[in-house]
Amino acid sequence: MQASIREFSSVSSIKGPLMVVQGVTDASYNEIVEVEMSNGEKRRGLVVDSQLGLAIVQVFEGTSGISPGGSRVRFLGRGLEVKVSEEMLGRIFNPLGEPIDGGSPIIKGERRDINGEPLNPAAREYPEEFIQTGISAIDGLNALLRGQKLPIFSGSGLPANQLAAQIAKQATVRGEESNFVVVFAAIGIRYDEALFFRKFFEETGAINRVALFMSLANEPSVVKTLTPKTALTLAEYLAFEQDLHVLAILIDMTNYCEALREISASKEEVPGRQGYPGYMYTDLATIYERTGKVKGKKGSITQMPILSMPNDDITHPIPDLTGYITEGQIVLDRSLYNKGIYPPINVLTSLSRLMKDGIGAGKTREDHKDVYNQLYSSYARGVELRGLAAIVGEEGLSETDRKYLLFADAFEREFISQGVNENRTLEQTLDIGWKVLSVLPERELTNVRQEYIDKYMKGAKS
Amino acid sequence: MELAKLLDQASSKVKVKLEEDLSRAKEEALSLIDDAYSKAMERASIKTKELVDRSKERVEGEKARLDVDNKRAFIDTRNFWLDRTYSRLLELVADYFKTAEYEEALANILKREVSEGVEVICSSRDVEKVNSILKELKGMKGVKVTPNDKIKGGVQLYYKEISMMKDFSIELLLKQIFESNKEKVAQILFEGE
Repeated sequence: MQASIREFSSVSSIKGPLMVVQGVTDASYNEIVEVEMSNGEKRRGLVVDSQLGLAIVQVFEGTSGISPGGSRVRFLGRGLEVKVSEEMLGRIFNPLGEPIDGGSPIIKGERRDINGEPLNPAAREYPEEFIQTGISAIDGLNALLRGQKLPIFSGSGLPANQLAAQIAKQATVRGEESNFVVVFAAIGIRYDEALFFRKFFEETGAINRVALFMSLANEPSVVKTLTPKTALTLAEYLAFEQDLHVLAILIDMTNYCEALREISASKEEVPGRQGYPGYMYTDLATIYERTGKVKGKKGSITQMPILSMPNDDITHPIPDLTGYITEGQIVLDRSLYNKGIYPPINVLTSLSRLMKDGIGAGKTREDHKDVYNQLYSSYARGVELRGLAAIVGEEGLSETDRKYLLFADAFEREFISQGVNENRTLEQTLDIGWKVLSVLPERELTNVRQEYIDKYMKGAKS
Repeated sequence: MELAKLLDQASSKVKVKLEEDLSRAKEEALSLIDDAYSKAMERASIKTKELVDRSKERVEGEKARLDVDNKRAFIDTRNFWLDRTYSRLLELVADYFKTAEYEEALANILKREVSEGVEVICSSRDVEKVNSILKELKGMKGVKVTPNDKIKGGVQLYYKEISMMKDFSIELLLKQIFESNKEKVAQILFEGE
C-alpha cells in the first residue's frame, strides 16, 4: 500500500513547467505529485529536485493557469507507475497508461515503475533468430534478429511512418506467429499521423496484436519523454512474464530528443553538442538497452527506434549517438524516394551488425548469405559505374559494365521497391534476388557457390 | 502442252509456297494469340489475387476491429460493475464507524501524527470521539478540531506552520485498497473464485 498522502499549499514560485513547493522535507526524487488548482482541475507532475525544505515539481500538463496561492500539491508517495497487462493489446493509451480509445482502464495487470531495471548483462542471450518483416531490403540484406536493436534513420518527408506501420503489421517470427506482438510508441506525432496509425492498424487487422502508446506534438515535453518508457515497461512485462516475442517500435526518437533538450533548457542545465543535454547518450542508452533475450525466459524484446535526421545529416547528435548504442541501422535515402521507390532503403549505407549470426542453413535458407554478399557487391559496383557513366557516357563503358547498370536499376525497381501492403516471405525475397542477379553474366557471380546458381537461379529460370 | 505443264508446275510451286507461308502465318498468329491470352490471363489472375487479398484483408480488419470492440465492451462492463461494487462498499462502510476498531484506529493516527498547532478535520459525527482522544494526549496545545461532512470517516491533519496536509481519510484508504485489489475483486465477481 502507498505511504500517506501529503498535501501542501505552499507553492512559492512557478517558472515554465517547474513549480517550487516550500516546506517539503521528505519528497523522493521522481515521486509523482498531483496538483489541484483553485478551480478543481487536477494535473500531475514529477519531483525533479528535492531539497530540505523545498521540492521542485515538473508539471506534465504545463503550469499555465496555476497560481501560487490557491493551488494544492499532493505528494503521492510513489514513483510513476503504470499498470501493464495483456489486456493492453488492441488498445490505445497515453504515456501515463490511461486509455484514450474511449474504453475503460484495464483491470488485470501489475503496477510497474516506468523506468524499469537494467538487464543483467550476464543473463543476456545472444540474438540468433530471424524476424521476417516482409520487406526485402531488410530481410534480404539487413536482417533483423530477435533481441536486436536496429534503428531506422529517416529524413523529413520520407515515408518512415508508412514503413513503421507496414513492419508492425507484417513482422513475425517464423513458426511462432501466435506469440508475436508489437508495442508501438508514437512520440510527439501530429494529429494526422496519429489518425493514420490508428486507421492503418484497424483496417489491416493488425490492431489485435498491437498496443499503441501515443503522445501528440502539442503535448508537454515531459509527457513526450515518458512515452517510450511506458511502452517499454509493457514490452518487458509481455516478454519476460508472458513469454511473448515483442517488437517495440519507437517513432520518432528525434521528437524525444527535442523534448529532452527543451526540458534541459528549462532546468537551465549546461548544454552539450547543439544544445542537447550532455547526458543524452546515457538517456538514449537507458531506452535502447531495454531490449534483448534473457536466459531462462522464452520471450524477447526487439527494438526498432525510428528517427528523422535533421537535414539528412547522419552526423547530427541524434543519429550519431543512436548509432553508438544500437546494432546497425537502416537508412532511408532521399534520392531513391525521389525516383518513386518505396521503401527507399539505401542498402549500401545500411547495416545489421548481427545479421551474419541469424541467417543461412537451418535458420533462413542456405543461399541467404551468398545472395546477400553478391547483391551487395554488385549493387555497389553498379552505383559506382553510374558515376562513371555520368562522365564518360554509357557508350564509354564495357558490355559488362552496362550490365551492371541494368542490374542496379533492376535491383532498385524489383528487389528494393515493393508495395505498401506487399508482404514478401523470405523465399520470395531471395528468389527475387536471384532473378535480378540473372541480369549479370554468370562469370560475374563470384560471391555465390555454383551449386546455388544451379539450384536457385537456373531452377527459377526454367 | 508443254506450256500447260510449265504453267501447272509453276502454279503448284506457288501453291506450295503460299501454303507454307499461310501455315507459318497461321502458326505466328496462333502464337501471338496464345501470348496475348497468357498475358491477359496473368494480368487477370494478378488482379484477381489482389482483389481477393484486399477482400481478405478487409475481412481480417473487420474481424480484428470487432474483436477489439468486444474486448473494450467486456472491460467497460466489468468496470461498470466494479464501480457499483465500490459505491456499495462506501455505503456499507458506514457501519464500521460505530465499531471499537475504528475508534482505536483513530486514536493510533492521532497519537502518532498530532503535534502542537495542528488542525484536525473530521466528519461532524467524529468530533466528539476526536476531542476525547485529544484530551488524553496531554500537552497538545493549540490543536483545533474542524468538522467537515465531505469526509465520511478518518481524519485530515493540517499543519498550518508548514502549510502541509496529511490525509488519513477513509475514502482515500478505501480507494487505495480497492485499486490494488481490483483484479482480485474482479475475479470474485466474474469468475466466482
